[in-house]
Amino acid sequence: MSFEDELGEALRRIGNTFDSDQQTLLTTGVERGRRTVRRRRVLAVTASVVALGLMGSGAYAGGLLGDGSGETNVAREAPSLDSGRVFEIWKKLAPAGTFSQEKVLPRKPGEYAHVSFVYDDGKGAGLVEFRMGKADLRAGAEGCEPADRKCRARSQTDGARSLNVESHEAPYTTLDTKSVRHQIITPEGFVVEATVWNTPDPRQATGTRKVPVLMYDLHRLNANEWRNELKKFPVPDPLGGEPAVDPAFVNPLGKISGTELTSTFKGLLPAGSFSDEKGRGTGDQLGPAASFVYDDGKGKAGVTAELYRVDPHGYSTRQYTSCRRVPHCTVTTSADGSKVRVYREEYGKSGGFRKFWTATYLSPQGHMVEISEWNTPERDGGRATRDTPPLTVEQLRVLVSSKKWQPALDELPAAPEESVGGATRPTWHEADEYVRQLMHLRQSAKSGNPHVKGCDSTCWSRLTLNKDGLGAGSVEVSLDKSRTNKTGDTLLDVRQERVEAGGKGAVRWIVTASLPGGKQVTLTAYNAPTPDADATRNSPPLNVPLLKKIALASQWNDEAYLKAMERPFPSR
Amino acid sequence: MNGEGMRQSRADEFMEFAAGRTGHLFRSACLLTSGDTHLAEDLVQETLSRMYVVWGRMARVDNPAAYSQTVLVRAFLSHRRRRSATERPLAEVPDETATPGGEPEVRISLLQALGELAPKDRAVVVLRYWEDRSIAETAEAMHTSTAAVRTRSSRALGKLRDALGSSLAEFVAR
Repeated sequence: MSFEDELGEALRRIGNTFDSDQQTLLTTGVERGRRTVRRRRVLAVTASVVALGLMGSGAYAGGLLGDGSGETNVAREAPSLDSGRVFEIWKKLAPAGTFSQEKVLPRKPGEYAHVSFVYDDGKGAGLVEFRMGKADLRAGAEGCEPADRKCRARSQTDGARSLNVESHEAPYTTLDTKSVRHQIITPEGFVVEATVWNTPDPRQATGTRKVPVLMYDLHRLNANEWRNELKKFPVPDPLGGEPAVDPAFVNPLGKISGTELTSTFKGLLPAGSFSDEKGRGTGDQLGPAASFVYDDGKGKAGVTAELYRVDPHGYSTRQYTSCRRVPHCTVTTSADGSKVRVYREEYGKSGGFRKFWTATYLSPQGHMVEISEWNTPERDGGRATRDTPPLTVEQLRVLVSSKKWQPALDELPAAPEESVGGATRPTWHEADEYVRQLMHLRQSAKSGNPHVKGCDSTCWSRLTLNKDGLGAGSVEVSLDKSRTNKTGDTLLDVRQERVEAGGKGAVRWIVTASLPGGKQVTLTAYNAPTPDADATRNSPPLNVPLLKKIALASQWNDEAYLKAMERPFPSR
Repeated sequence: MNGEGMRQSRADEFMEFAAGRTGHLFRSACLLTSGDTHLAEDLVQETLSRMYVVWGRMARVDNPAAYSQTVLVRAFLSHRRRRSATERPLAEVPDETATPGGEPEVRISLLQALGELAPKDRAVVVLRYWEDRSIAETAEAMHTSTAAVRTRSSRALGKLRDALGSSLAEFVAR
């Protein structure tokens, strides 16, 4: 009997020993299937339901659902915009065409207007549904949903964001019923939204035209007419009720010194000699760390330990604890929920392969310990002094999870949630994106951009941002070429202050940093579109960890990189 | 027959089919998951749910039994994809259930050896040697080429041979 035949026979015998409650499996499976079918039906008729609401007898708007329900009362008591005025503005903004079936629809809490009408530009009629009100900041923060067939989110120069969701992929060559939803979220936190169809009745499978009506006119939602109407309403709370970042996270007050941390680290290592010791305490704005050159008798090697407090569920944290598409990387999860990721990298051939091994520990509470080691004394470059770094992967794993780090970790304040406060341990890529944007702005200086100044001795530019949808803020960068850091240490200073003689409620976060031998970079982030404007959000648009990362980016000292950024991007 | 009646008779058909296949699907799923009966149950439910959804269109499929097997393998592979590929729990408690079929050592070592194969390799082994599918059928079920199935198959057989040695021959000879 061949091995294949033996395997087949063994599989049959062993497979047949598995037994389960088939009836339960069957019922649960079928119930799941029924749910899927129901969900698909609901999705398929969503458009029809909308249409029914629009075409219906107006029962909702008329209050037939009863006065007792809070939902229906909200619309009556809350501030609203006269629907006549809405239709008037539409007629003014839309290209020549006919308007019919104008309807006022029930408003949700926070909505100032919700209407629909049928528009015909002479090439076929289509339904338009329009709403205006306070933006749902939390729902809109990410922009596109994974389920959207085709979706594009953009930031506008005035700090507003736009979102465009299409039900079908272009080119539109068929008459299938389709829709486009376009949304503008203003820097103040208002939303103006229109959904347009290629049919007056979305319940029908096919429309009267291939392309939804007014599809190419949706930028008119940006028109001043709408903004002027919105000015009559109170500005929504820019932070949507979210608490501001804990100041202790920005300026830590830890007591453990860098020297103490370095000796803790040394105590954990096998006997050997130590030189070039450096340490940062738990009160240091760069975060606690210890580093030295370690020699176990087989050659000198650089070793560092860094401690962080991060949001354990944050997206930036995941990048340090996942091995997705990363070679030579493993993650192990312990019974208590903590994770250790080990990553090994080999690079360069000059003077033998340089090797860099690192282990990252993350506890469920967000305590992070990272220990890195090289087979060279210097962190970046230098000849390999030994075959492999001094500590084995197993030793790294034990060292990062050591309880000896706990007292220092306990002194670090809990990190804010990333979904609210942004990355708590930003990656190089994230910072690089902003460096690129800030530097690239300079090339437009020649075309008269007022947000940019020349770059002979000091470069300066400003970026208006509203990526999280919590309101417009701005970030300024100033690169002082005449001031270089002559010390051997990284210099960093973080200040949070009210803007003197600034707009109402305006605050700024100033991060000044320079790498050893590098130029001084100052980043100033405002919670307002400009330093003299009133605050449009509670805190600046980039959080302190990210500002630090941007200010400490090595690209600021890379002349070739900066030069490249000055050239215009190739036109498409 | 009116629409309602037709729907009812299709539903009856499905229940009959599902009742006949559930046991076999579960056993396949156990081999695919190398003995993780909880995951196997989940995969079978997922398979039945997907079959329920497409049942109305099943007239176009010649062999619903084989199709459900394909659905199961695809559900297994997409489950594997969803999970992080390199993450493995340290404190894994092996799910030691009673072994009604006897020969516990061979059973455990075969399941362990299966568990050490890459998920796609394991799927090839299950389809080829448990389901008796041809290379072409296996390739179709896994959305891959016949060459890839051959490669996976010989790699997997090599690993299983190394892990199990002659114990299978003794086991089968009993």
